Amino acid sequence: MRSGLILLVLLLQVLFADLSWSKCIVDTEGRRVCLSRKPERIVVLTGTCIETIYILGEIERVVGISRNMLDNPFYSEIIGRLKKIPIVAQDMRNLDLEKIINLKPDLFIALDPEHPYGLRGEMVKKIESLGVPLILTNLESLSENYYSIEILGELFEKRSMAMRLVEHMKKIERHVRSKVSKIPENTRVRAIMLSHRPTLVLAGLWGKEDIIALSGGINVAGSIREFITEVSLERIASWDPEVVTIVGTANYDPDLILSSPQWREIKAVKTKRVFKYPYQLTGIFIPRVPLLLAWCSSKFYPDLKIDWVGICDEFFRRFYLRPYYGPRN
Amino acid sequence: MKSLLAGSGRKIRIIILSIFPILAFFISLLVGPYGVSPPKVLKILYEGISMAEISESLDRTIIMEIRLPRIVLSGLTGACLSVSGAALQGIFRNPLVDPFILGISSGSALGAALSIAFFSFLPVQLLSFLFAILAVLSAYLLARTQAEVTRLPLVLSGIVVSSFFTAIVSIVKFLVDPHRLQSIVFWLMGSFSLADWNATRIALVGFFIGSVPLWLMRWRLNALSMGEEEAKALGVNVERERALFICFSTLAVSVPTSLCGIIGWVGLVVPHLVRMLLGPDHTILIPMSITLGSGFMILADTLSRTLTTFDIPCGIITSLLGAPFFIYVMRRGGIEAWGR
Repeated sequence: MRSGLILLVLLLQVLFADLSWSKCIVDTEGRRVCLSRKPERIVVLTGTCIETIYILGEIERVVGISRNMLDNPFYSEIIGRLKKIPIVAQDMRNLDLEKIINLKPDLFIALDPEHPYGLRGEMVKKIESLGVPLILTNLESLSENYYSIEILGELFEKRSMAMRLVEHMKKIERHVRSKVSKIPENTRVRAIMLSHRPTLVLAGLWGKEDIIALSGGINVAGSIREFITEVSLERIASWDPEVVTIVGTANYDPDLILSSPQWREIKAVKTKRVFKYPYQLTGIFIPRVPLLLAWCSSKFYPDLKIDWVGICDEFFRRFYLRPYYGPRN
Repeated sequence: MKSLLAGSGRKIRIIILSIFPILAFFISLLVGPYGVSPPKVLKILYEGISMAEISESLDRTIIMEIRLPRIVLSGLTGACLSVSGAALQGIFRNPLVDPFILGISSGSALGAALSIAFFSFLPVQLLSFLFAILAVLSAYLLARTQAEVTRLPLVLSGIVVSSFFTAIVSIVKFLVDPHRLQSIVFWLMGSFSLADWNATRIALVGFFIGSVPLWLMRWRLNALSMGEEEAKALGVNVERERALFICFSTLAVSVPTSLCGIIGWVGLVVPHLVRMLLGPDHTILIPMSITLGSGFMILADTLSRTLTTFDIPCGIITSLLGAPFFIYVMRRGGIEAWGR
């Protein structure tokens, strides 16, 4: 009799807990998104969010991802379960809506149409018409990056974990900023970030929130209001950057630049300051972005002695439960 | 039209077309985003040519290592595309034929896309070249019926192969991540932004093994362009000659295409313009297509690297210039040079 009563009470608690669960959040694009129950079946199409969800320990709730997440070697290495999650989209532009409906998701997370690689506007309408709550992100600043993590912490009721992550990220950011803030404006390093070919450069779409700017440098391609754009070698020579960085997933190395006669008179090449950052740090506005800031600032200003490897080690141990395993030079 | 093609006016036009690439070369050499004064440019050029001992400087690097190879590469590419277009229009007796009619562009695109997307350990240029050759070879073998290759099946099989290869390129684009997709898209639009002396040397080889034989064989094109029956009556082995022209045209186009991507319209428009100015005689049409094509491409690339802060892919410039220009040529009676 008593055990029957206990069971009844527990059942009622569970029932009421589910019924009483409802949450409304405002996503980074200012859209109010309401959920009537705790998300259990989530389709995630953004790398930033999948990484945060993994750190929050909620990856089991993800039922659908986009295929291009698997192209990122870091995700495949860190998130073991990723390969087992059904692929419902090639990328934001190519979604299999029927597959998504079949998965019966209760939450959908994707990039906003304003993002260079975001969802199409008409797809947003279609998903909304299905009645699935849709969170859109278009992270353009570190503060939006932190906010997106806080939202997910709120949704999964992992506020303290999310806050720990955000606080740790902010701590690294503050550390980098405090170091580079001592550099006078007129002696700031003029740098360029090369993408998947040496003439594709990271331009100034994000203005002051540009990775180079946040790391205390000046992005020589910053005046071009694009995400990534093609420029001529002559243009790069006319900018004469003091430091050249190459994205970690590019299929060429600094040696290609250092040995090229076309680059030899550029300051960065003359002083051998051409660096490729580890693919373990690749990505913009992801939980690891402060690590990239630490790496960039250490390359821009070696005298500041920013221990980016130590920072990475600590971050990886805390949030990926393993030491940093990328190159350390 | 005839009056246009006769007399001293014709000689003047030949002279203008002959010096056009030289003018384009110097205009292009003197302008660029990095300001170097014209006297200094000429001094650096002179020192570079005369192998004089000169100290390294950013000015010298920009002129000798960045601007000059880019100009030479764009000139060679323009020459190859134009001469190939002129030859193929002649042997197919069709004014709408361009150098990519047999699937070179789609083959090249597939090779480049595969290299960028999945086989990054293989150079883009190598795969692009191999797939261009594969595309043309496939088209040629598909068209071969009863030990003979005639014009219409060849054009049709070129279209089929192009469509097939383009479909595979689309699949590759669909599968690849956004960053690599961007690289593929830039490659498909055609650009000289990565030009260097190595690429220029390879293009020069392509020019010599592709365009020079076309230039040397230009006399035979006149016989072929009269039609199969007439050519046979003149004792020409039509199929063998056609195969040779296709082979050299393919080499002429596939090498520069593998280096700088797909640049459209040049191979279509330039031979038309030359035909309009000087008539359909291939002994003149071929060399003048080389000169006009190289000059046109040099100027188009100059625009692409100087119009904006970023580099506009040259394929966009040639399309923007080529399409309206083609309409102009048609209206001026360029097509009449073919006869109705």
